[in-house]
Amino acid sequence: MTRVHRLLAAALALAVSGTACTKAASTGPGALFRQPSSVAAFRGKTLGNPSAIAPYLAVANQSRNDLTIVNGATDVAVPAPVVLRGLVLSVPNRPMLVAAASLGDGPAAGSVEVPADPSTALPDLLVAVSGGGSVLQLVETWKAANLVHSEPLTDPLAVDLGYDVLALAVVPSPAGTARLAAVLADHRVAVVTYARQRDGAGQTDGSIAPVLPVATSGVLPFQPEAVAAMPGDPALTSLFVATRDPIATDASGKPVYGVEELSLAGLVPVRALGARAPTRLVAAARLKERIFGDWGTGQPLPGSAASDDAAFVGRPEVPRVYAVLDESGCGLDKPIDCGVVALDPTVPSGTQAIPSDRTAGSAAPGDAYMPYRAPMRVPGRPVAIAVSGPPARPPPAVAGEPDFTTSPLSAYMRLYSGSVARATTAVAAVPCDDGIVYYLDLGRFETATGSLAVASKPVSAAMPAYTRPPTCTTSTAAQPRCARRRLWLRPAPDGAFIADAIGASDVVTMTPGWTPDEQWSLVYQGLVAPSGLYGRAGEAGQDAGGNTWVALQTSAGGDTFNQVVRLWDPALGVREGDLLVIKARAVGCTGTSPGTNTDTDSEFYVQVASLVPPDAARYPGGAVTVTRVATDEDPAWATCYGALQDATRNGTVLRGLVVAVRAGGYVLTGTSAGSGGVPVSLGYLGRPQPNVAFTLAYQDEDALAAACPFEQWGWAGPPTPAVLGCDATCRAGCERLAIVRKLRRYQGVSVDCNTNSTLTSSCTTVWPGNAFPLVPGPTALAFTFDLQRDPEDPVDPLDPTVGSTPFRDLRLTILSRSNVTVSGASGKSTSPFQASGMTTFDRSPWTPDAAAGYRFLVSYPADFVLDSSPSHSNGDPVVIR
Amino acid sequence: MRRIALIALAVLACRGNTSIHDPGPLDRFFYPTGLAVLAVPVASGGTTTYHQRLLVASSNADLTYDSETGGSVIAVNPEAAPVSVTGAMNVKSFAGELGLVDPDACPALAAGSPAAAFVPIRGQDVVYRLDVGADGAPSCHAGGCTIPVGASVRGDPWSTGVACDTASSPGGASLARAYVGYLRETNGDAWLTQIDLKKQPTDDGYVQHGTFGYGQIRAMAYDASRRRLYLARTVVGTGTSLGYVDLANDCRIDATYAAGGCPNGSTPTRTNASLAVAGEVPYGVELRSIALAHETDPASPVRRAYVTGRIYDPIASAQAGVRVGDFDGLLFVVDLSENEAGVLQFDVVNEIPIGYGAADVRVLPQRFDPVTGAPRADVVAALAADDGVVWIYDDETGATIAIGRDPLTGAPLVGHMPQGLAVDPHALPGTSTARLYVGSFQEHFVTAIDVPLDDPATFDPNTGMHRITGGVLP
Repeated sequence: MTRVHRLLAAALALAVSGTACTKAASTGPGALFRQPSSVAAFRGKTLGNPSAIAPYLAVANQSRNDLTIVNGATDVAVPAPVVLRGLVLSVPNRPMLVAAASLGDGPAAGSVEVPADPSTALPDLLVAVSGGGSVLQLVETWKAANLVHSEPLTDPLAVDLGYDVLALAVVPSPAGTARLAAVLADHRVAVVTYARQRDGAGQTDGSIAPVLPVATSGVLPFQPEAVAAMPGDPALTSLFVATRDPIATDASGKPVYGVEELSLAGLVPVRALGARAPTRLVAAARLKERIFGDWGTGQPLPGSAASDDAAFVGRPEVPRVYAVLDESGCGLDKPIDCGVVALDPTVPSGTQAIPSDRTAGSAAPGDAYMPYRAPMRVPGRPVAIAVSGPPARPPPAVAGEPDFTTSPLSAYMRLYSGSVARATTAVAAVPCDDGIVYYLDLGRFETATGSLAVASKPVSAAMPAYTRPPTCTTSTAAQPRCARRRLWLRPAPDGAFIADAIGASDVVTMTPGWTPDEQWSLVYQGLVAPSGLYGRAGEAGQDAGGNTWVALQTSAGGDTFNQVVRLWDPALGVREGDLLVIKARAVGCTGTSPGTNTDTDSEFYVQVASLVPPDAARYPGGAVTVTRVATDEDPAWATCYGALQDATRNGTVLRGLVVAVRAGGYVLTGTSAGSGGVPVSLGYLGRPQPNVAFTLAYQDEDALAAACPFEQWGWAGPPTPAVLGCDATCRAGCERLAIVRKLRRYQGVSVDCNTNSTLTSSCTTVWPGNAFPLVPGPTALAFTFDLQRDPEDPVDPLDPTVGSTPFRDLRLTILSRSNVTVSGASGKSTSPFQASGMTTFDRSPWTPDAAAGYRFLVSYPADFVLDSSPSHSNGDPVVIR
Repeated sequence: MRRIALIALAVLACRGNTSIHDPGPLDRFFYPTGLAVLAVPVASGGTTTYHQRLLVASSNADLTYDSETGGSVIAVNPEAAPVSVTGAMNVKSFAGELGLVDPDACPALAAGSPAAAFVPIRGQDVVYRLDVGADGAPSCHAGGCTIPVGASVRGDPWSTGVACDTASSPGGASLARAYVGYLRETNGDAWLTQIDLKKQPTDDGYVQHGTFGYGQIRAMAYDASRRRLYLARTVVGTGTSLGYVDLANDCRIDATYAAGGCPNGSTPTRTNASLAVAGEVPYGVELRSIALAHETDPASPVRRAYVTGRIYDPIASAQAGVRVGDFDGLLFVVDLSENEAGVLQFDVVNEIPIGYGAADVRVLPQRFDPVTGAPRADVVAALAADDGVVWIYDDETGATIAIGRDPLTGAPLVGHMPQGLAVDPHALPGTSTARLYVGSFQEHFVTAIDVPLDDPATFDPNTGMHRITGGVLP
């Protein structure tokens, strides 16, 4: 024995002795995942329990070419025969996908499994797919050796689908069989059926084999990204595929994006479910949805927001498809916000399949405008989705909480919203790239929250809260007028200014579900869009009439321009009378100091005289003509304006400008408050006027879009005549559309503020300005502001004629709280980013602890799997590694 | 410690045939780090076929040979049997990547100019500028063999990039430049050095240095139609983004835009872990390399690109100030465009897990429909260095091929510690087969991989790969 061997032996002995010494506390050898890419839950036999059917997790380790087997009831890795490590099954060439399905049959021929009774379970189907592989590799779950059948040329249990498998989904199947749908890289979908093998007497050892031939679709006119099957009756199921490509054309000739339904018979497209945006992930469920809709009497239905089964009484079971919208086509400036959208798969093909929660003529103030149900928005970017229905065994009764062990709640599943155990009909989990697994209450079609939105105060601070607007802080000697006034709030036009910030909550109206966590900044001559129209590269020239134009762009030569800002787009909010702030250096003049510590480059102001349509050869985003500032012009600016004119004569284009765009008057912008909820930065929100009631309210965006020619044009090709003819009213409508899209409902409000007097009081306290018990309207923000002069300076000697004059950058800031604390789980001491795979697992039949309930399992590249369940008040996150 | 010293002595003793004063070998690769392919046009009967010379920069990374002359740049004719050396020279040790400006693809170079190769040297902080003859033979540029590029704020030049305008570039052909990125920077600035091949070494602006955001610039890709150089940067702190600098109008990279410098920018970044931003680079992914798709419509506002990235922990990184974690690698298929505010957008079309150590990505020669002649979608090669896997991705079908490990030995088919990926810009003569090269740093060879462009899925590792360790000296 060499020294190295001796050292190894010593280490081995030490490890063995250590294992023995800590056996009582040991949780096994550790899963030791290596770059897990996918996870599936299956039932079968393993070396961990060779004689009985038990639940397990199979986790694909890309980097180690194997599957790790974990006990599904305990989350502990099954020990290998050499107990220094966990049990793994070798799968060649980087296993990327694993999928498992129950065959639904019982031990006796013709019998069916009873989900709540483990003794009736037979081994499940388990397959793996290698990276870039086309073969469904069958794992023997019916034998403890768990052989993997990988070679289709020599092994009939391995099925070659002919092209790379990109995604898998379980398809409902008659008892004794299981079906898997596979998305293939060549624009096809295949369905493979597996059957339990029984002898002539109906006896089985649990073995499973594929039933050939494989059903394969033709080449689809779009690339499927993900697939899901409608659960339930195998005779009524079909496939739903997410795709980023158009799936149909609507009546106006525009492409329809969404989810395509494929029939299992022939695997042909049968229905295009319009989702207003492309999709990239999909799931499906049959469930009851809560009472909603027709408030024809002006009063909501009592059960609409109940936390128990009353919310679902009388509601039918409906099929629903849930799709994660692709960010290329969703967002604040798109026809729909991003998130998870619910689709009704019974609508006519090619039409919008998003249910509408209103009926014609509805008097519901909140729902009278949205032409579709809002997508369930989650923080970050979703990377997977899975849906679970109620567990086979209900959770045990908890004192003081609804009893799920007895009817009618036994048919529901428990979902905690903070300390409130709510009953619902289906739950989805969505791991996002911010490292958190978020839950969706599908029965209430809303993002699950950590407390009851609307009625609860998730933090102790008063909400909404307001910051006192900063008065001028520069030397009062230098700017006495500035120091003696501020922007402040009135309860109504010409009303008395409120006394202090505490009273602000009484004069600012916000609406639950419509007002996000946001910092609203009202600024006199502020930046029109702080993140987009500041420090931008610009160019200037003169038109044939000698007018100086400025475009925000850089020339790349010829007709090619980079960093093009579409100044002519009304959605951007630039208007005549706005101010351009240009750094003086490129113009060769002196200018004035910007007055900040961080920017020492002097600058000058010019004023927008007109907006200029795009010219592909000169300014493809449009331009503005500029003139001298009409009021309060610094003499240095006039000199710079002259220099700018001189520099652009005779067709010269002056490059290298650095430009910011400020409003000519008051401007409202919104940025993320960074305090919780679903963060969003709304950006430009319009031009409030002082002493005028200002309301940000949702309108029918589809009607506005239909009237805006910019929508039809889409900046593709030269401007259309309708766009060129878009007058001031037309442009105002387009600008309104851009703002309205930012003000869409983002969260369902299923809290009963309306019929419960206690909650009504609570809601009113949290959301002042709203008229509970009526469901409030779609107002995001309403207030009246004005310039307030210092009461000690009633007569301004420097401004005797017009009363008070505002000053640039005078600011009023309003902080709003949505009261939405999104419910989710994440692993401790882990790096939970870019989840790689996901599955659901009903653990309730397999452990004495029925509270274990339904689980969501997510694999992460950082070598762990997160197991969690919103059926627990804390999500019960367990990190397996 | 004593044991380590003994082992070190033993190792040194085993290298009895060499002296640390010997120059590096010129007939074999030794710790290769940089690869490039020179197209050699051969006109015959009115048609031009393209042959190739493979240029390999060796680093002498363990200083087996002399520090000053232990490295090499060797040109071989990989089509010859046996492979022959067509030219070679020694360079300093610790070479980095190898950048090649090929006159065939760079019409802005003066007529008759030889190809130019650039080899950064870490430690000594110089960049070799070499003339490359028609047969691939490297030699010192007449204006000087090395260019000092280091400074107190930057060092260890490593990555290389090339910006050459094509005939279709806006405003006519004008740019011919080489770029160098660094592994060491103070303050976390992303330093970039530009060498203007249209200037003489004595001209003002021949060499310029500028910073473009934060991190190390690990890869570059030039879009001639936009005159835009994309920059893949490592992570510093929280953010990750794809940067760029626009090179039009003879702007300088060593000045701010406000002072007449080149305009630049990047994709948007998150200000809050949960605040997804449209057009951002996926959160928690550090970009490592970028290659642009073959351009089929220069006027299109959208440009497809292929980008590799590594998954890391952005939260921990924000606290540590450097990247924490390296959990997996991804190949992204993205569409690059600008939004209504002129901000670069990184729209992910597809993402493929490729394994640990996501590194270089290259686009194989363009392929065309044999019937219609229409261009087909790209075939792309990506390297997962730590896993030792080369991936071939077909953007037409989404199919992938992993050239991974030998099923019997478990060894990477392309050698341990693959480093450097180069593509012959033309299909092999008389075929529709693309030739791809990947170096093995640890095993001192280069693997040639022949990918059938018509149907990459038919690639056979048993017949489509061979190793090159160097060549026969003339």
